[in-house]
Amino acid sequence: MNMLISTVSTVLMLALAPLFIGCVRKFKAWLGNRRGAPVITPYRSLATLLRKEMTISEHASWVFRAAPYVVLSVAVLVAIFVPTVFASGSATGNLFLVSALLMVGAGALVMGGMDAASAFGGMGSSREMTIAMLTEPCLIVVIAALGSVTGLWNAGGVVQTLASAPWWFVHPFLVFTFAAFAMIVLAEGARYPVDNPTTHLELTMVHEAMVLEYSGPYLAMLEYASMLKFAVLALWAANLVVPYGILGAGAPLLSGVVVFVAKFIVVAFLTALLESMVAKMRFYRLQEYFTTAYLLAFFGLILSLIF
Amino acid sequence: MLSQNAIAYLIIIALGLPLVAGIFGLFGKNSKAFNTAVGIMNMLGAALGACGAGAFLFLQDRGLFLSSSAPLLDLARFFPFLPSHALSVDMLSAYFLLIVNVGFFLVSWFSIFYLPRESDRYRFPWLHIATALFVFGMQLTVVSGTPLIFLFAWEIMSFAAYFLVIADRSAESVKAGFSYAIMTQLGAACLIAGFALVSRGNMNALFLELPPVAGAAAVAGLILLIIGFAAKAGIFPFHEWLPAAHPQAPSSSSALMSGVMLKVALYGLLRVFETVAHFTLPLPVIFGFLALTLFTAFYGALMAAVESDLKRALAWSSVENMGIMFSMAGMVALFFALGGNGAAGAVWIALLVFAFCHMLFKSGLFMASGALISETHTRDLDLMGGLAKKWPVFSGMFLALCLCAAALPPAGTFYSEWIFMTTVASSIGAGAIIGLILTIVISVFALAAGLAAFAMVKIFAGAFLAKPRSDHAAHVGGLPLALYASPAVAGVLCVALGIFLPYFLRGVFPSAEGVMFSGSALMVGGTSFSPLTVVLSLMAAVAGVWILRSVFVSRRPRTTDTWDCGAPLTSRMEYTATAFAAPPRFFFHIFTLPLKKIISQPVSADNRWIVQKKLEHESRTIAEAFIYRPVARAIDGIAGRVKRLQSGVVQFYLALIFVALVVTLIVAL
Amino acid sequence: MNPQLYRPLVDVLAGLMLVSGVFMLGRVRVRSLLRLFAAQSFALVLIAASGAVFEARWHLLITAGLVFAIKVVFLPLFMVTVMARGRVGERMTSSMRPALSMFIALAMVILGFYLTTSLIPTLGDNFFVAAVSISLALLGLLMLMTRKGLYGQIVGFLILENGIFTLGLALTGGMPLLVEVGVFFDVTIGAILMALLTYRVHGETRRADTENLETLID
Repeated sequence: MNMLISTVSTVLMLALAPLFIGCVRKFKAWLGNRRGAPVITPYRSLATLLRKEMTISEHASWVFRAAPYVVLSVAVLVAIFVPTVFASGSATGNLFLVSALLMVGAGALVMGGMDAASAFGGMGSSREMTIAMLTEPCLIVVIAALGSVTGLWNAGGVVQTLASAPWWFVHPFLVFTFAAFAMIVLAEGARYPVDNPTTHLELTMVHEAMVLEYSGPYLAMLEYASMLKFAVLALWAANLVVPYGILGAGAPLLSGVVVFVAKFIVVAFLTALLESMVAKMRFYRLQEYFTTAYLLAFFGLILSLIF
Repeated sequence: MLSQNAIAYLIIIALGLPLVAGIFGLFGKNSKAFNTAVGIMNMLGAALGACGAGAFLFLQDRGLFLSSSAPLLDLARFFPFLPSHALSVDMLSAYFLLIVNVGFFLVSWFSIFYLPRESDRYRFPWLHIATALFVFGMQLTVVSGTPLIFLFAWEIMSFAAYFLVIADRSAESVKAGFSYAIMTQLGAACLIAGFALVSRGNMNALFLELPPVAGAAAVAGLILLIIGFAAKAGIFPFHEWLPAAHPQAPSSSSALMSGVMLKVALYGLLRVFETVAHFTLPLPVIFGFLALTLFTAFYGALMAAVESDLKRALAWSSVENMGIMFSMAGMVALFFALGGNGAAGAVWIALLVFAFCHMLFKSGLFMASGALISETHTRDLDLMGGLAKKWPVFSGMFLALCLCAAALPPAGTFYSEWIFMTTVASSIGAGAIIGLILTIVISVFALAAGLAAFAMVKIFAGAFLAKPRSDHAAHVGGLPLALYASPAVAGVLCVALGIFLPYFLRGVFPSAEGVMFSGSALMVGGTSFSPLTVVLSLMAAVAGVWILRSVFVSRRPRTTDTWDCGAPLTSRMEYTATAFAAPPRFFFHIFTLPLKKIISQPVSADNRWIVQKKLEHESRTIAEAFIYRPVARAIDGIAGRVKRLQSGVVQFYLALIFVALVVTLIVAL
Repeated sequence: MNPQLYRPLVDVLAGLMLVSGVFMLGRVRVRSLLRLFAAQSFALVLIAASGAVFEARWHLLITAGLVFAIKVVFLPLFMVTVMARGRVGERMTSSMRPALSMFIALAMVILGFYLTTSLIPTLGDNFFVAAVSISLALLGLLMLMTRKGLYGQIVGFLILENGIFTLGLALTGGMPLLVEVGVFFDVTIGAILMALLTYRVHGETRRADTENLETLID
């Protein structure tokens, strides 16, 4: 039964990730007083990319060709291990493992970006690796806080335990942890204020610069992997903050579906709102961003020890 | 299966055979045949030693820590001139003996094919005898049972390593060897003093029989011992010699030094913790030790991330790894002090696994870089590149080794770090102050791990990816498989250790608390997952994606040029390793102390806006700038002032004699 | 001879040695210094001879003869000759005025006596001679320290040696003959060498003191 639930959850997430990004773009357009593209546009772009011919630079080696596979596999594994639609308590979703897998994916993409021998790729790779490196301590402290509060270390189990009692009464300090985790999700998902996913100016790119040389199906794989990662992490963050009505945690099916759709829309809207309000930070000021995230996470953990 | 006597014979042969090989190699000049013969003898000795140590570990149930009931193998009964148990093998010794022998096996295999390529730079007889003494010293250190024999073997090891460092007789090597010699003798002095204090002057006492640490003298001795081992392992602030000395040795010897000798330093520390301190160190000592080792881990990783010389970056990475291992040892002590024996056992296992993995991947990396450098003729990462296209298999193997070094799944290092982090994070709830300390420990650990991953990606990207950045790199020849077979095996072993870790641990520590194994899963503190499942899912995901791609996409890719905005790209336009590391260099500039000078000189007399610019970029290290130089200046200043006593005026010296005489008379009479 | 006379005789001679030593510190001219030195050494000869006669230690006669030959006759003559040949200045330089030197010499004597008081239990009768010897040693060192001219330093060294020899004579009835002979040879050669060195230094630097020797340090 657990296996069935996990499989359905994963397939749903795999299917809905581009829709999530489409919703974010739609909301952002509405906030900017535009009509925006239809929400299923990401599906269309991915399909178009799959049909296109792929051009590969003559300087690229096997690393360039292997990177998209690794990145997409890691994203799919993260989608499997971090349940969002249904909360299952599979032990393989160990949070430390998930953070390490995220680092593997980042490393693979970074190497793919360097391999094409372009200056933009190198720049994006250097920045992305720095971001991955700075995210690591913050993420570990967040995981430690969640683990020490709930006593469990896998993604689904944490959500299920948080669902058993309202955390804002029992563990109010978790607000800091969640704030830090939100900042981390923005960094991992290459959204504002860390990175601009819609820019066309190379000097402002991080993720986009690394995928600049990719085209056709490889580009589709990388774009989809990025969408999937962000969608999974953002929805899981939403599950942490509002761990109610999650299917599989004792809630009936209909209310679970409604709650999931509501979270989907609200998180997309909040992301779009954030992107409309803040500007992208200059890269060389990112240590302030990550220091803030780390201090928030640290506070959350320390307060949990006191109370 | 193997009797105690058989194991003892195997270990003794493993001790002696490298010496025989070394002496044999003395007569060979630079002959390839002699080199091969010596290598084969070394491999044989190492294989026998590994079998003996492995049999000792796997075939009998040993406790996690040394206890009075743990079986000891007494080797000294074969040597009538040694007191009983002066050479003995227990679980810790056998584990590290296994590490030393496996490392030596891999390195001697490599050197059979590597040394003939460098026969114009090194004199083989010198290398062979130095390596033989080096390995003999290391093995003897690990099996020694008394402080005296330990120190004797330690000095042999250090002394032989000096000759390996200066093997190519260049000015830089001699300078590095000098720095190494000073630091190693300082450490040895601390060790001798420490052992003398701790054993109350009786250095022939067995380690087992040393009295527990009590009283200020014994605590001072313990601190001196820790300093001695820290100096050998490259812990801040005694780390400066490591990135200078390890790269200068020939790559096979660098692999031995970095992969194996540092483990022997770790062994010494663990032995002292176990038998001298009985894991009850005073808390201030533990905290100071943890602070230094964690800072070493961070600093080593940072310097590895910003260093652009390949072997130096690997050496800095060794500094970071030793910082991690020593801090794990400190955590074991801390957990014992706080009463969490299960947690201490789990961290001990994490430490031992990390040590084994580190030997494998570090020697693999050094060997692979030796092979690489022998073709590109440069150690500078900024001048390499494009090698992944020319050597796909080699680069794949190097990537696997970098993965192990970066502690990412599915390598064994990741699992050891996972055990450590889960144990520490689970214990955070034990109290406010302890939770604070454990949080800091785990954050620094994570930061060091992130920086290490950065460093490894940078090394791989700089060496293998993009276009070749220099002519040497553009015109490399082929790399024979025999040359990189040994590092490939090292990488495979490291990954295999990760995948089959529960089986390995169950074989070596059947009765460990804190870390349990059921089936193929690791369980720590209530959480578990199976490394095998992780690897299988990773492979399944990749396979699935590939299948989907083959099904949905049928057009073949077209080869074009990199997008260049119209202007042709040269290799000068791509990112080098130094450029890749610019963000960490900037973000942590208080540690990396970069110094950038742009000097512009006007070139034309009638137009002063035409200038010639020169960029000077220099990185200092904080240890050198803030610790070594001030200390050196202070000593120089004091010496200068004392020198004024030597005025050359005879009467002044006589006055000194007079004063001494009067004072003596007054005091004596 | 009356054995009772031994002690007072030795004491008087020692006193004469002490007085001459104190005076020597105030001498400026080489010849007067060397004359006083000869007198002091002659007193030493008499001490040795009286020891030989009164206490029947006949080997002391040989010692007395040696001291006479070398310290009373040979060395002063030798040094005066070298000085005359080299035309070294007859006036020696010192870091202190003669009066101040004598004052400090007296202080040294007091110091020497004070130091010897703690040895009274072991010395018994020999207190005065022992005190004089130690004072002479200190005086010799003082002379070595304060004189700039090489002759002053040679004589200072010889006074030091005198004092030590007296101590040996008084306390132990003389050292074994072989040792004494060896010491004599040492001192003699040393003095000869120093005198020749003075000649050389003067030949090189036109000065007979140690000032320019400072530049020899590394």
